[in-house]
Amino acid sequence: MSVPSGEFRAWAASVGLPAAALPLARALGVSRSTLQAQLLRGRVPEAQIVAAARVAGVAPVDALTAFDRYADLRGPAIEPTPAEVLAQVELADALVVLLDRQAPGARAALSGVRGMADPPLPGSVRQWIDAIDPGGLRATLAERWRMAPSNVSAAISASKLRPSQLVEIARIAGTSWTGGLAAAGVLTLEEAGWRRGARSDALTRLSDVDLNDLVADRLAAAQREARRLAADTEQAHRIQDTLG
Amino acid sequence: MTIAFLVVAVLAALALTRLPGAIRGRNPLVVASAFAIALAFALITPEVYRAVDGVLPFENATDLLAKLLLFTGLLLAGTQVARAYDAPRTLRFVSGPPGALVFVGVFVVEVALFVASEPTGRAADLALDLDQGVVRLYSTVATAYPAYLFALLLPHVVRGVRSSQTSTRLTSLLLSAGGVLALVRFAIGLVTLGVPAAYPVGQIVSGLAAVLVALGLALAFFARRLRSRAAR
Repeated sequence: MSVPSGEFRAWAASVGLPAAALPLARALGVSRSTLQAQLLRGRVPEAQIVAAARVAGVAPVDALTAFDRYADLRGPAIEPTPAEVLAQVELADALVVLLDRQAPGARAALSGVRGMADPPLPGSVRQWIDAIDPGGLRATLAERWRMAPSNVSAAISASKLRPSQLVEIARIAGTSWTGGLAAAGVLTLEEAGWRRGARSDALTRLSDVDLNDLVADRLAAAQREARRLAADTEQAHRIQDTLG
Repeated sequence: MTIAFLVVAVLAALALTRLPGAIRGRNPLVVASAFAIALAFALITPEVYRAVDGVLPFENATDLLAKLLLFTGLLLAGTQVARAYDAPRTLRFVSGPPGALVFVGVFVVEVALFVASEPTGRAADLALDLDQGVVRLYSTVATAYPAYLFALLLPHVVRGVRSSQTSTRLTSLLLSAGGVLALVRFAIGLVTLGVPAAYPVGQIVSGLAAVLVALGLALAFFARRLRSRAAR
């Protein structure tokens, strides 16, 4: 979903963006026809608001809460929980920390080789949802959205949730509403109110038990993906050899 | 009938690209299927049809020949598709005993309907005499065999559309589209039983389905060529 175009025009004017479609499109770096279609249809997607806010030098979070639809979210941002932060950690990042505990200094030595990647990462939305799920979240969503539970799970795995749905999930779970948008890459981590180095610090603070759990979890996911890829490749060769 | 010629040209071109490989013993079944189907579509173009039918022992024997070629080509292609998508149970229903029974059964019914019809001239699918119920049934039953095969294969092929491999995705997409059209063709055939005017639409759908399936198979061929070239 998205916000009404009238509201978008009013907001754009209030932050000093041009009102006419052509200069506005030029300022946002999108084609005029794309923007015009969004304005004509009366619905401007959240990603467009975020892009416009960045151009205007306004915090995207403030820009989003300036719209009626998200007005109730205005106010100081809620800090992400440690689980939420760790959801955006990849296997390699967790492994580096694990290695550092076995061979002190490894983390510093590897800092030039590997930096943490920003979301969207493969599985980052699914991991975010697993981190904030108070229990039965998928079933609740299936009921609210009138979708089959399997379709909800598929949409989560494929990161096909709309920004409004991500915010809705955060509302249900009672966590920071920016978390889902950050996991999906709509907002950067900093825009979502994360401290710089939040992930790195959270990893450092993990107990050995929890760190092992995290690595095991990421490794299992990587193995599932590798198996799927191997099976797909085998199938592709089989099809090519039998039909080609 | 330019569409018919276009279909034949595409089918023949795709079959010919595989000829060198087939001579070296590469996938003879698929290549034979490609030639059989291309030949079947060539035989039913009006000019070829009249020329060939003049040589054959009885009037409209060409159409029976074209149908036998088409069914054989589909049987071979269906067999390989079932193998490619690793579907042994479906394979039984395509080319195992049950599959053979359906193949023979449909063709015997076709011959019986052919004998029962009273064609007034030479035309593929006896299309000059669509006012006869028997002729319409003859035409529709022929579309039942491809529909049968693709109804069996579609569930497996459709699953390939979600693969992470581009070649699998595209081949599966083209085969699925062709398969769906084969089912649509049968549905149009059923409509033709009551409304003969639907017949020309059905023939276009048939040609389109054949081209889509041939493109899907050709894509697997080119993907394999690319892969073996990259391996060298």
